[in-house]
Amino acid sequence: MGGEKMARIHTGISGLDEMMQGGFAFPSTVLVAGSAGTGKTTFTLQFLAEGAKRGEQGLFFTTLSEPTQWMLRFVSEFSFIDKETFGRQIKFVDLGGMLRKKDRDPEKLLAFIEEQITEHMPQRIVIDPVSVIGELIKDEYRTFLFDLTTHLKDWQAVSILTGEVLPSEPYPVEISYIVDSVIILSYGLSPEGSRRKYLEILKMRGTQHTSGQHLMDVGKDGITVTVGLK
Amino acid sequence: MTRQNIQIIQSVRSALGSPKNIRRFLFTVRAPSVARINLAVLRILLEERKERGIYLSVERPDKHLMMILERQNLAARSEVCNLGDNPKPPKRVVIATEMVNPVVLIDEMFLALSDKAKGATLDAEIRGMGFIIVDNLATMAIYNTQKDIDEFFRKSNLFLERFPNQKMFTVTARSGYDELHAAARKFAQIEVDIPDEWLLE
Repeated sequence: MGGEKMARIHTGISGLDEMMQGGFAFPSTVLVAGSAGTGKTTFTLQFLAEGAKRGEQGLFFTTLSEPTQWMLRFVSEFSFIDKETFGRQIKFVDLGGMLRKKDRDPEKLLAFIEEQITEHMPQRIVIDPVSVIGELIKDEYRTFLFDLTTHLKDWQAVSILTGEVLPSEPYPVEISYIVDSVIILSYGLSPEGSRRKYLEILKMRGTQHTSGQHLMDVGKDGITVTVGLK
Repeated sequence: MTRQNIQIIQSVRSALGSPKNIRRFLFTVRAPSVARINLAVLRILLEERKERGIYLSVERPDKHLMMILERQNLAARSEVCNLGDNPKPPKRVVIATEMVNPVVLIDEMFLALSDKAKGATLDAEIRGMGFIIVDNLATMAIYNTQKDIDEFFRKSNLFLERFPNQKMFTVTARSGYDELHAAARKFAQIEVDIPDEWLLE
């Protein structure tokens, strides 16, 4: 499998780049799926922080409408967080306001996202979580997802969409078809019987990647993946 | 507004201030920064040097390119047209988008230029413009063979010979494109390598 002519960008997640030929293909779209508390938001912030360190612009779209400051207070203790980059190399944009409107319009939402992208010209984009949009626009969700990913692919960036899933559901199937890569974060039991977190690369177009579930720790330096450990 | 690093701007500006016989430029940068450098070059050409020109995009759709130009305060939609439209008065930026094999564009231009009815008008339109930006060589390499790319450079030379007022700006990503790089360096008269650390704010 190739990747020879594909540029790659580092994720900033220790142990992960080595699982996928050095990083995410640039440009590409990625789904990071997992149930609550598995580390999706931490993953995306670590990814954006890595970009900021490298002089890249990041754009974080939140759909949950919790104030950005509230979210950031819980991640501020991670060593990869550089508060100087907030609002500068990393811009936070709230989509919740548009989603809360009774006359929410997927086309206007997409247009707003594109306005932000053309204004800030990010190399790294996060939409966290995109699955919330599905709960609000229901019948139009699939069309919206298709349009969103089609447009994201044109914007010369690596875009991460996060998807909430129930513990019994491995990943949001409707998103997995239309993205280039799928990474699953999950809980499981270690051989010793303790509850641990795991990361699995389920799909990654054009990339030789390590398969299977691998131990994932979340410490003060952020997420670390240890390949081969269970 | 795209955030720029002073050193990058200075290096681009310095390159653009080269003697008039320097007309083939290559900018080499990390892949994620290709778009940023293209916009930096375009901004200097449009705003500082007050030139009009052609923006050739291998992959971007025209709608997206126009959104970027407008949002980045480079050119309003009313100041942009597609190649061959030849509006009066002329537009600041003429775009040619989704040109997966740009050799086709150059061939079509030469064909149109040979048209008895419309050739003279197109010739005048191109002579009224000062540059062509190719966005970007690395993406071209994904869709085309090295032979196609060599042909693109050969035909670009013919284009520049015919239009001595034109300059061509090409941008490519730094790593993983050895054969492309070698060909691009052979084509270009001047290469500006943007070091990674210059991209840090």
